[in-house]
Amino acid sequence: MTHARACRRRYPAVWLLLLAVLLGPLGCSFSQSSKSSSDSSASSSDSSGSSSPGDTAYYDDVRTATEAYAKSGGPFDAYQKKLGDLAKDRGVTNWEENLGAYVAIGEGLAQAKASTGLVETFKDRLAPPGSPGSNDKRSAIQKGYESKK
Amino acid sequence: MTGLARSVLGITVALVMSSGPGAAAASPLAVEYLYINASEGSAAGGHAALRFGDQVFHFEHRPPGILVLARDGFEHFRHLYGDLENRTIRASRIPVNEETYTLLLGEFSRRHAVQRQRLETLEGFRGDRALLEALQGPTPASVAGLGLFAEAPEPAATPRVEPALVSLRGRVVERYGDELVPARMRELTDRLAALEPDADAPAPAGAGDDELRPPAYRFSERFRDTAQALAALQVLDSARPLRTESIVPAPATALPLGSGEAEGVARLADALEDSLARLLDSARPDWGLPMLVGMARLSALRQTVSTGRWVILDAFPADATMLDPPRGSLRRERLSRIREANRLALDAARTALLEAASSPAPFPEAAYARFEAAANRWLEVGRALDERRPLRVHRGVLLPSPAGPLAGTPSYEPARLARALDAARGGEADALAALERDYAYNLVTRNCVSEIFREVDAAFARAAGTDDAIRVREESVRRLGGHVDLAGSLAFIPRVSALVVEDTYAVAERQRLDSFRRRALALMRRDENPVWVFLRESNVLTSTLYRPHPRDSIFLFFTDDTVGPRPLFGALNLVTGLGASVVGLAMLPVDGGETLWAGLRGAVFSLPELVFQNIRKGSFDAP
Repeated sequence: MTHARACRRRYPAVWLLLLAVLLGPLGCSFSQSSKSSSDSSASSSDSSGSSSPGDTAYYDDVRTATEAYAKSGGPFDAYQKKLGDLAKDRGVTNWEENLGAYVAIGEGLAQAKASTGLVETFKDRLAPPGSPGSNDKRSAIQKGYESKK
Repeated sequence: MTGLARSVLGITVALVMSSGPGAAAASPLAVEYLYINASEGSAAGGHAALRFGDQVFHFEHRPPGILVLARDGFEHFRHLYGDLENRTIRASRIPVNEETYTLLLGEFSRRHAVQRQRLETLEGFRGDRALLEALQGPTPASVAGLGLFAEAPEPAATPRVEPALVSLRGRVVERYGDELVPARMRELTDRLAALEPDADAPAPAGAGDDELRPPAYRFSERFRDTAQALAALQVLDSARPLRTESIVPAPATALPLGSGEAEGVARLADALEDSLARLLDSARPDWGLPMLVGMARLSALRQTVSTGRWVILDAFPADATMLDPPRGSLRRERLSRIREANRLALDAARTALLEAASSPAPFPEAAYARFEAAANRWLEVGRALDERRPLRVHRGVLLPSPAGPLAGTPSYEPARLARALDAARGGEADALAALERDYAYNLVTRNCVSEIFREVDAAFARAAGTDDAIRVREESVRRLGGHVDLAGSLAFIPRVSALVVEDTYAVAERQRLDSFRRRALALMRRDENPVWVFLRESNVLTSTLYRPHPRDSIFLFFTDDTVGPRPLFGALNLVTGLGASVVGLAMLPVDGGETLWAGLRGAVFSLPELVFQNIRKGSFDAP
């Protein structure tokens, strides 16, 4: 066994580090979220919860999910659950009181080139006549739909 | 650093940002190619990203060796890389028309959504498996959010009730009649028992499948949502009080209500009560968690008014990372700075919440959630410092939702549970294998750079309606002024890719967002003798900016801002690293190899400095 090979066996961490330095300049960042936590994680500004994608990203998600659902179909309650999950990802549980979400739903329907009949179906399922805030929610869906039609 | 210097630094950072891409993004549309320079450890090769307005898309290398498209807010991204990791970001601004902007943003958003769906499928199988294993045991199922409240009292005991929930229950009876809650509870109990554990779950994606699939609603998710709704009604029906552990213990002097705040808090509580009463009218299947969390927040708000000090729900998850109590003076000093920054964040969130309370709009949940999270982080650091307790940290969203046991958990047929469990285990293995197959990281062929250009090409192929390479290239030239071809080039290296982008695309503007240390040094040089600043700040011993960070290797001199003396400093750093390694060997039985490892890394990351290259930047707890 050569001396170098013996070293490699004895000090694998050293060789790994040398390899990292040689190949390191080629590689990319490892995930932030995969890094071990440190005190800086205690900072409000370091938490993704406080400064994660803001409303723009949330509404993008709602648009994308709605467009995909309008094209693919599937159980409507699964789509509703998806809307709940998207809001929860940014710390909001009761998304139904956010009219902006309904606008984004309308925009997603327009992006999917949904028929007016399908838009009415969404309105009836998400904001049935007589339910709390129904008129405002239905108007918001229509507004979003027309803005992207 | 003095408080004055910090203030000036904050203002200067704001000015730098307002004249940089942040301001540029407000002008005609553009996409920005971001190159983030290298740092030691996880980021030795640098990083690349694409910015659309306030959103940044970048591919991260994550366990188990897959490349994941992450999306971040620009400010958060800049803070993580530019401040905490002390790395300089170079932005190349490429003006585009609205159609191209929408096309590219749509492509990256779609890819993000597709991959997230694939990751959620894996998590879904894991969720099914965990629930099915729990249902095979004798203990009742745990329901997220139910742990906020005291358990149901024994029948003979005199129940304690929460006045806020008694009031809410009265509001519900007034609105819907006194039969609604019992009838719903019966219906939900029946629905829970009728769920089918072995119903077909969606199959993992096939090779090359990159389309969004219809949303799935798995057994574990249906069980969770139905159980949470049932639990919420059980809590409401008996007006259960909060558990003591659900509230962050805080000294009476912490967070007293300010002058006039009680009225605002009372308005918030009233708005939340209205909102919760409306929630029972919702057709969404997952209304249980909003109801549980909302009732707990309602209780906290009413107690805030009655006690005259903010009552805050403990929002840290049970699996939050626990760090050792702060003992050393350096760490206590660092945490004290974080506590102060958190206090400022809390003050801002509190002001925003009370402003929102004065509007007639529904309960401002987003503002309340920000306030609640900020209060949790401030109080947590304070308790760690003042009471020398372990410090809980959590990078994700803070939502108070501890799990509690569901009374009346149904029992399912054992054979069906076993069948479903087998299927869930198989599905989990298949979903993981599919992810490793379709998104495997490769240093050269699939990394944070290659995937950006692959995605750009995919967008142009979609626009051109063909995968033909020549047409895609033409489309790229037409829209961006050029085409980046990675085949046979070194452009897969983040640093090289930034140069290639500048040479290839119609880059209209270049911006450099200096790292935290560079910005701070520039300010110091303006206000003090530059020679003195250099002497003082060039090394870790006398630097007023840097405090040794657990993530960093052991080194003596900074070399990120100096080129000429870099080999000399590198040699001294090498000696320092080797010396620390020798000390680390002696300390091996005491510190488990921590010093040895930091010393070895210090030595290795000094080697590039001998040939004028810098990788190590040091980490900073920048405010």
